[in-house]
Amino acid sequence: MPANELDPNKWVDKYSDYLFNYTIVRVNDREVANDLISETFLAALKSAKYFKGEASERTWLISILKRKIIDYYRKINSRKGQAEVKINYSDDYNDGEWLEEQVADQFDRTAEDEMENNELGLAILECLDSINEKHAAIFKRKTIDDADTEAICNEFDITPSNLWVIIHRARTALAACLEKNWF
Amino acid sequence: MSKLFFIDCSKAAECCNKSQYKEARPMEKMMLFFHLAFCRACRKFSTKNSKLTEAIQKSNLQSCTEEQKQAWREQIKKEFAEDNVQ
Repeated sequence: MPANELDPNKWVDKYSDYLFNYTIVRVNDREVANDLISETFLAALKSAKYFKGEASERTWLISILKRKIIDYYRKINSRKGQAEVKINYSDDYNDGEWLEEQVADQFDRTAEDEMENNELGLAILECLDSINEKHAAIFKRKTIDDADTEAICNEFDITPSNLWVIIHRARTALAACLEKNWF
Repeated sequence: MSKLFFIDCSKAAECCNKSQYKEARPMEKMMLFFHLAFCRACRKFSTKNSKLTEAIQKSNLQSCTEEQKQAWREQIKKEFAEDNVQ
């Protein structure tokens, strides 16, 4: 029997936030990200019979999603590449002017920072996987969606003091998990 | 009076968590402040808790909309059913 089995009916609840955060930083467009995730789910269903159970469900879905993101960039690149004219202005005359532009700006680390922060986000979601499902859902509503305490209490039919106990447990577990895996 | 200011660690944790979401009332903040002054364990917890809030903010996590999730659920259910029929 394989170590991991697929359960497509739980994919959305378990992995959609993870897949979404993985994609959004790479394509920077919510619509495109949603489309790519739809395609990933469909492709995963079609190739479910090839899943050997050696990797976890999430790792397997991410590997499909990676292909979809690469395909997406290939497609848009092949479209624009045909009309693109590359201008190279590094000639002998304008040395002084362009030289400054060629030097890497040491303070401009935004892309790298963004990737690192995204990885931190994915680590947080991975850690949330290991805690009680309902607690994780409540924590996400409160922390990521910034939902109102009262709204969450109504949604999950709990009292505010229940909510703060759940938040406390989730935060403690999350801090311990991140300390082990990230900091 | 002393009862007003002296709270136990679980109440202090609650106040600390509330303040991470900017939901602690001024009185709760004050009680937490006094508690932290003499409780080392809670000071440690409070530092960790703030660090976690910082990490969450930095990570810029987003969640997809519930409508989108529902659309995916239906899509998967439909495809799954079709695959099983074939």
